[in-house]
Amino acid sequence: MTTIALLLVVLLPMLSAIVIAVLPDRHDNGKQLGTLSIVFTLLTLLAMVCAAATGDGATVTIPVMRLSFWTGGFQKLYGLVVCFMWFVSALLSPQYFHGHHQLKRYYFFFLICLGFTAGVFLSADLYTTFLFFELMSLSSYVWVVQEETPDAMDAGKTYLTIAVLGGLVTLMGLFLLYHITGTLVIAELHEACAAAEPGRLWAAAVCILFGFAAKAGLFSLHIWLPKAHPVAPAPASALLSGVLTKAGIFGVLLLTGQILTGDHTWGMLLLVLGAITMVLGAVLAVFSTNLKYILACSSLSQIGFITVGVSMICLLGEHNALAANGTVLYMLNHSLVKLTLFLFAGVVYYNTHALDLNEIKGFGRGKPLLHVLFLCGACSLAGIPGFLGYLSKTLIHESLVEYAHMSGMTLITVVEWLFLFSGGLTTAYLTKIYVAIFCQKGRETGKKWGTPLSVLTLCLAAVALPLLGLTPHVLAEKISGTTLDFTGGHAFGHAIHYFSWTNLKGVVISLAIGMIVYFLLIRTVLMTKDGRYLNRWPKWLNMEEYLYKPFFRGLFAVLDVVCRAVCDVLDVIVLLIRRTLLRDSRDEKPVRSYSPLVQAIARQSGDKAAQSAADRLDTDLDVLGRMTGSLSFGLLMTCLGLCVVLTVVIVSIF
Amino acid sequence: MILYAVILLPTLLGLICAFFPPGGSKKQTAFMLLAQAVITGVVLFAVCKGGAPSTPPIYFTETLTFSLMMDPLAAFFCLLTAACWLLTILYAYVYMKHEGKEPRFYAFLFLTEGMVFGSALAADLMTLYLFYELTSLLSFPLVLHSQNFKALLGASKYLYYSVGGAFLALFGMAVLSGSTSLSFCSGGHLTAGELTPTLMLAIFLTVLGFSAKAGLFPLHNWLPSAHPVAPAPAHALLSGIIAKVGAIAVIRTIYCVVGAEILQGTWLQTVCLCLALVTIFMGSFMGCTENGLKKRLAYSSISQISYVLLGIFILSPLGLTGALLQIFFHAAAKIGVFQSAGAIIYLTDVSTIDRFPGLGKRLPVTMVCFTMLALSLVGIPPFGGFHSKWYLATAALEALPGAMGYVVPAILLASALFTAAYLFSPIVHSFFPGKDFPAQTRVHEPAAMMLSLVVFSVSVLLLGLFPNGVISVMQSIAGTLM
Repeated sequence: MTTIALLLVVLLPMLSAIVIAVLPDRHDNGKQLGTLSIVFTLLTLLAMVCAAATGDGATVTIPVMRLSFWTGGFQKLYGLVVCFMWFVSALLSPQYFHGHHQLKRYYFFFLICLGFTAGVFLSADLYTTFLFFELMSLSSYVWVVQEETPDAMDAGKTYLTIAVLGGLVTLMGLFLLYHITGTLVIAELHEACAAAEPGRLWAAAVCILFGFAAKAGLFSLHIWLPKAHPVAPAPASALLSGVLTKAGIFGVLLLTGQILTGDHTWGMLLLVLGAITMVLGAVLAVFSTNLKYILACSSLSQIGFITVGVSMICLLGEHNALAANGTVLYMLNHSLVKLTLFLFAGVVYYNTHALDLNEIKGFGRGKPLLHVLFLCGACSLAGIPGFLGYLSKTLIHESLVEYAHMSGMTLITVVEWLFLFSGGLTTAYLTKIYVAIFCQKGRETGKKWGTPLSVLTLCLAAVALPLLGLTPHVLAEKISGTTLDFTGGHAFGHAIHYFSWTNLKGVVISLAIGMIVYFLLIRTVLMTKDGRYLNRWPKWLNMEEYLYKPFFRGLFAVLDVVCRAVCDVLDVIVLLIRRTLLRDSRDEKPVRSYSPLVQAIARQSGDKAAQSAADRLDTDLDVLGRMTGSLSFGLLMTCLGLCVVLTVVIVSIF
Repeated sequence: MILYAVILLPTLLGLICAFFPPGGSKKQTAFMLLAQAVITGVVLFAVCKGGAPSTPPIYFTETLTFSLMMDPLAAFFCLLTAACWLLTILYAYVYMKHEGKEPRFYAFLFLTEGMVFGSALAADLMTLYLFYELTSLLSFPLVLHSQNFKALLGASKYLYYSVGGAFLALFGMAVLSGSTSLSFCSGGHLTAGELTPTLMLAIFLTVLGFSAKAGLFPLHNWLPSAHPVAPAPAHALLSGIIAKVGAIAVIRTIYCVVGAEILQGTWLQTVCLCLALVTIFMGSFMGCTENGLKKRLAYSSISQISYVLLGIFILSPLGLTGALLQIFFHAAAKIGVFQSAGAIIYLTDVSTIDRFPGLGKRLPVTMVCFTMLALSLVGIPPFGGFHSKWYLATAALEALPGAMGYVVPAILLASALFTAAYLFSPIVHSFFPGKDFPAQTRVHEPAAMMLSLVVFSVSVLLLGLFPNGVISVMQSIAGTLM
């Protein structure tokens, strides 16, 4: 039963993609495609629910390419999240794509990628993970370039480069890991790695981290993320941001929980990477004026928060209950929040066909339901009590406080303050969006902002946030509790008082920082007197343009010279020998091997026809002379000789 | 007897083809397809007959003999060759209208097939050398087919390099024959004590000479000149099958005459591995810098065929399995890619990468097949090419001592990155030409051409998804050779 359900989760999307592919290519079948994709994503969701209900943590192996799936707690949770998010995105798609072109292509890759992504999260060995991870990366490329605008093509290029590079480096890591441990089964890795030599294990882990960190958008490999998320269609952005980045985090969690368990240096590495990403993303978001760009940078920042959580799982060792639960809840929170907010951006886009804050100002006025839905997402992202975001942020913050206390390292205290500061920036950029869309006066649009289906979609996306946020002990902790075997976490030693003053203090500080940033920075520096938003982020602060591209261009130029030299080395030597030692003397003094008699006759006769005949004969003889003197003639003779040998052989047989 | 038939049948067919009236009619193609099917049947019969048939040696001198045998490696390569030829004839039916002079083309195509069979079936080094030379010489007119200056240049370069390589091999063989029998047996004839420095040099020269045909650095540069000028069906076979004759010859020399175990850890292994790695890296990088479609693919061949040699030089059963898998999957993927390149040139006259935008709309079937085959060449799972790379890399890590074990997979992956760079960019341009690109109309794609392409693309996907059968066959072949 579980086997069939799991297979369906992976195969149904592929099947549906094939169905979409064989449909006739018409311009007006957007509705039909949209309906089909809703039906298929719903079926996949049901199959996943079935698999989650019956799965008991067993491993299921299927004969195709030795693939195996696992129904552990984390796997089930994220399998469900993936299917749910795909379903919700599919629900908004018909209205969003109304009047768009090339939809067949979009829906094909939209559906097929569902199977691949679910495969990543459900995989029981790294071989399976890698397979689906690569396929997911490549098929989601089509989402990024769907609109085919110059921006999209540029973003797609960066996305594909990083995806392929990341995939290959990860593969190198898998080779190394397999060589060291002899297994890639996730459940066996923990034991196998404990016995392995740490140096080589580290090499493998860093290689594997490269690919997953690239997908998650961790600092220094994040360059694709703020470019790709805004240009993709909104339902796809929601998935890119909500799910695909989590596939990266999945890998980081796996490395932390199973391979380098409790390695202090590893924890510190992740902490530093996470902290940089967290602050960087938030700062970028504060400066930006494009709604989707702000959300993309916000994803970056949130991935940083999650990575800090993961590093705490590693660093705290046996006391990591807070961090382990907090990280999983944070992932869940971010997935759902970004689903809500990107779909919100989609609603804004299909109504106004703009995303710049200056152009969409005042769009939300007079739309109370949209107002509430946006606030659900925003409050959860900012960590306001009563929403899921508050629980997860509090847990990770508390774990930071705990570790700062335990280790006494100043760095941890600094990270703790950066954590609160980034939380503040989160509040600031969300306030910026809120004020722009819901408070400032701009162009007025009607009260209606979507079909009933779209309204329902957004409600579905947002409803879980307060629901889980208000029931920390009943639901949230239960959910995160099932995932501890995967994350390498421990259960809570004591009950957490989420709404006590010590825990609320963090939020208060963050909110205060947020308000200060909003009023002192955004309202003064980043905004003109009459309420226009300005993007003052300096152009030269762009890692991709001014660091990576020149570096790779230089590398490419050097390799170009070296490879060309290596490639042509023998030809050059041959040429040199021909020009020096073995000069072709005929090039200078052509030997004219004609018969003097023929020439004499031709000269004497004065007949033009005879003369040209003589000339032709002359050239023919010349060619013959050259041929008999050349290597190819020798070769022809060799060929004949070999043929004679073969004939002798054949004759002697019969 | 049946082994002689395997070689003589295509030769005979080639001679018949030479007397066809020019113009390539449907009837001719039907006849050739039928004849090729019969040949395939005979090969299959010879393979399935069991008991490893072989012929009694014919002695020229005490050491120089002519003998044939059907061992698993020969069976694998003969079947692969027969299958690829069958599909190529189907494809060439449409394509050769574009080139003309069909009778000559088919005549040499079948003659070459006979010689490739001979190279695979050879049971001693002398016979192998004979067929190896004949393969070069009889495939020479295929390269020369269009008879223009470029073709002449490319073809003569091909000939010089091949024959030059063969002479290197001949020299090595002459030295080798002094100290060992040249007949093939699994595990080789030599023992570690017999391995004098002169003998090592002789082995090295033999290996280097034979690998000229597989495009190993430094004897590789004929490939980008010669392959692109040949007509697409011939180009596909030159890269997919004929170049692998060099690899087969190297396998025979190392595994069946010398013995792989005694070469493990010698300078010969290190030098050969380094040469293969240089070729792999350089070939795939040069592919990125090239704008001409066929030339780009020729560079790709250089790098991909050296994967095979790399696997051979690892000198372990796992490495050899990887090499054989690479022979198989690369043949399928590369022939398919070349055929799609040929289809693109034939149907739309696009022959450079910068004119690719919009091709996805004009030639959907061709481009989808091209994409699938390219994914296999890069080594993206679940396509077949992934398995060969997996085996090569794990074999290198397991069998090679010290840093070399880590360098090999690293270079393999760097090369995969470049492969992705030079294959994905045309694909991306063809499917995503940009928002303002003018609308394109679909070009009719002839069914005979597409059938061959689709068979190749589906087989790399299906055999990639269900690789166990192929892998176990290759493992058993590798087992018989070690």
